[in-house]
Amino acid sequence: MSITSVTFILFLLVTVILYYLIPGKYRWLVLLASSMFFYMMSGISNGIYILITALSTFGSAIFMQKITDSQKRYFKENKESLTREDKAIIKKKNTSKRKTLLILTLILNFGILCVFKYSHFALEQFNNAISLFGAQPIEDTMKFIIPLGISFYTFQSMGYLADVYWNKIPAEKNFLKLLLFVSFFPQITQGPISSFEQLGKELFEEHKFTYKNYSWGIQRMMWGFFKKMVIADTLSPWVYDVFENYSQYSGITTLIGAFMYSVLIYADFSGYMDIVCGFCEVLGIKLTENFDRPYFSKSIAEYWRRWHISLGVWFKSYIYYPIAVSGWNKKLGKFSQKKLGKTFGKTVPASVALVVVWLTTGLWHGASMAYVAWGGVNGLFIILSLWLEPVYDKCKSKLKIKESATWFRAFQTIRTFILVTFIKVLPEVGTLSEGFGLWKNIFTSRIIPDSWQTLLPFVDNIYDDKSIRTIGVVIFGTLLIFITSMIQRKQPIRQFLGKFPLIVKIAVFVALFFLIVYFGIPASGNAGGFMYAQF
Amino acid sequence: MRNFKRAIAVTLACILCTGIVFTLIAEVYFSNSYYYYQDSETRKNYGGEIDFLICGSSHGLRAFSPEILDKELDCFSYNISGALMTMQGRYTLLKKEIERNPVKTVVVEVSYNALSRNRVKEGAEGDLYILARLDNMAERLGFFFSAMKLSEYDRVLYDTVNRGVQCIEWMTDGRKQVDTTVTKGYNKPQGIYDCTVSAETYEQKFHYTKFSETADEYNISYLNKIINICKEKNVRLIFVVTPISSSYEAEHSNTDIVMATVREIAKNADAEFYDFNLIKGKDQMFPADTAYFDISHLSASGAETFNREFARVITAAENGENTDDLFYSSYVEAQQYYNCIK
Amino acid sequence: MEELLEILEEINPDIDYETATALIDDKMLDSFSIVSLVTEISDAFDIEISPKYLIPENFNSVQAMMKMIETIQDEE
Repeated sequence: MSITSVTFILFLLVTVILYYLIPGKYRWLVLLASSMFFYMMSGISNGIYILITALSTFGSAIFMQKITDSQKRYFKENKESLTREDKAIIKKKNTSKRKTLLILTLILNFGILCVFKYSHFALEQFNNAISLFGAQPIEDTMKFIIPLGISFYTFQSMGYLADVYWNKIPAEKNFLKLLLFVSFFPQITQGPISSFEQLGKELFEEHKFTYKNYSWGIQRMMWGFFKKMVIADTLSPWVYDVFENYSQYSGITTLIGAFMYSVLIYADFSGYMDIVCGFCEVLGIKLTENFDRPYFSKSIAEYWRRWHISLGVWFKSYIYYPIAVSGWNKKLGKFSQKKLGKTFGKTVPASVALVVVWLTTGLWHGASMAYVAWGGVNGLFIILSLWLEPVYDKCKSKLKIKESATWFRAFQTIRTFILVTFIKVLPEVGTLSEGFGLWKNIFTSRIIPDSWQTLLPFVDNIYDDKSIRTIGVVIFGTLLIFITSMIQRKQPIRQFLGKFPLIVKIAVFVALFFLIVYFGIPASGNAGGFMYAQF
Repeated sequence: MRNFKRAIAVTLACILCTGIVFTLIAEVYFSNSYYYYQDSETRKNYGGEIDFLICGSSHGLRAFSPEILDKELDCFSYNISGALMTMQGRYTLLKKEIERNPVKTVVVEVSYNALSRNRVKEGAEGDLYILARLDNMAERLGFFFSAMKLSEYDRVLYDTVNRGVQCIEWMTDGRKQVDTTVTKGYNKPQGIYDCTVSAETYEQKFHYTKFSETADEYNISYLNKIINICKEKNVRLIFVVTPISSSYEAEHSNTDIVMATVREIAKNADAEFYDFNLIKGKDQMFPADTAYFDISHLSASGAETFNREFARVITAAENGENTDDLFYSSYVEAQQYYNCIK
Repeated sequence: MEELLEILEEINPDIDYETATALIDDKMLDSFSIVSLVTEISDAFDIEISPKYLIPENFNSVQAMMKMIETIQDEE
């Protein structure tokens, strides 16, 4: 079910009505039923995998909890007779039991994910390796239909399991509740990835219908539809045209294509988030935010704290920290401090963790070397800025640059935006070499555009009225995103709008509605689904 | 409760305002005739005069010219065919006209895919044109809810708003509206497509593919409705297959099988049936290099000839003459006499 | 307490740790600092800080950090 289709909107309407008709305690059952229905619509044969994940996660967590609970009970009952050493031995045994459960469940679920997502990639790399020895490559006859949302629900479930393992939260005793957490339909296709602590509270608490939630939720959804359909879906064929044909286009056209991609991916992804979060808001459920005006970041590290925030938080909590503070990494850190000096050596554990985080982040985004390289480039920038921080500080004090000066912050923001755009575009063009080719074309293309049509060749017949209007609405939309971002520095947009009389808000609604109909419906018919949908 | 009441009130206000703006835009489109197919005014004004109706899809739209037929047959004809017209669309317009006119003859154009085309796969386009050919909002809403699928609602919304905006621009530019009073439903194509092929190509592609043989339930049911209302009104019912280019037809090995179903339906309806692809001397009457606008539609000159030949045949039939001799009995037979090589 | 303050001063000397209550929320300590901090604390206090303790609440102020250290020591 496409999120921009009439059937989906009808589905949302029915869900909301049922949700508020049912008494508060049982409302989460409506959400479960809707999520199951939504998942069925993506193909019943695939439903088995999400059930396997839900069951294995549920079972594992329950067993872990049993071990923990029985240990607590045993220690309490035998407080007098147990020595410290006895306790330590029992603790160790139980920890290793729980660890085994954790590892087995992780292998099962990440295994399923890897088979679906990375089989082709793995075979490709294997073939590349054996061809070095002159062997014939193995034919790729694997045909998989990737289960809907597998990257998202696997990560979300394994996060829950880790939280139970670390005794951060108790295991959920009701399987249906856990199933809802795993399969909650607004976030299954593209996130946001939530922790059980966060999302569970929102899902299972009773929420009263309030006018504010309803009004703010609908407003947010309208804004999301506008960004997704009018801006993103319009830009999509243009951007992919540039990616396919950049070698025939001028440098400036290619550069425009790259910047359009930055706008496109933000409008598409954040638009989807707005629709999904807005809908949950109508239900009184608060989903975690995925974006915080990311293009206003002043460094790559900051960018990744403001873009796809929930993914970053997941990687931080479950990969970065565990690796960075692990025993072997501490030893490595001490060793590096001896060999490479204190300042540099201290950064080694964090750097090692970062390398792992970024290579896996790259791989998560796409099963190709281009994405791994992309992850590596991001990681490199972050690690470099970590190492060079003392150097930067010295330069800034020598040049007497004030960090808080407006011009300096603007410089940092623009520099970061340009850098982010170039990095982002690299794996999207196709292969890694095609990505580099695009970069090269921006700077070395000999073609000079001599008319509007050659400057913007991705627009069919630029002199046609509708084409001109479409370009206009994309520019208008981008400016609108920029302006609303500026307003958001001080307050939420809906609060800002709230100061105006109702008629103004209705006028905004009607205007957005017709812009979405006139520009968005034709665009979304051509461009197809969301960009993160194959995850 | 207060929250809920407020939410309902504001929602209704939004829907109302949106509805008002939408109606304003849509009415500029529906109430005028900036598009060639918008002939509801013309048909209304001819109400009570029409005695000869032609009802078909795009093949009929390009083939039947009431101007010529009126002269040849001394009648007052109207062509309600339309591009991509669905069987439901045909029935809707036919029923309207047959009820407000003294119709004596109804010609139903059927082609190789009249029965097999699938409304769900083809989409809403044909029915969108019908919306603009109905008389008022009530009729339009009725047809909309009857013909459109849920997943097409957004397309209909877009199409209406898009055309509305276009008409608003045309109106402000002072563009002239289309006059359908003379053409009476016929849409004359501009240009000719040369449908001759090399001997090599003809041989290579001869019988290399098939038309779909499955008759779609939806088409059959509406065709039956058309037949029933014609029977009720006691009209002369004529099924006609308009000429398609021989080179295109020859690519298909099963046209006889496909047409057999249509013949059967016509027979059971006591209707006359004339397949002009089987007419003797077809490629002399409709030369492959000038008679066609594209591979399956007649050009202006092709249509001229066709109307005269058609008039000749149905007049002869009316006079009791045997018209079977004018036609071959099968496509297999007719193909032997095809002449469409360069 | 003093040991902890020493460690913090080394990691980032510009912050007034006595009065700060939102070290993480106000982004005064970033994830790299946390990693160094955790390593130093686990060495200095001879404890193992499991990832479950790596939440903002435990690092927003010196008092919160001391509380966390004491909790872990009690557990062991």
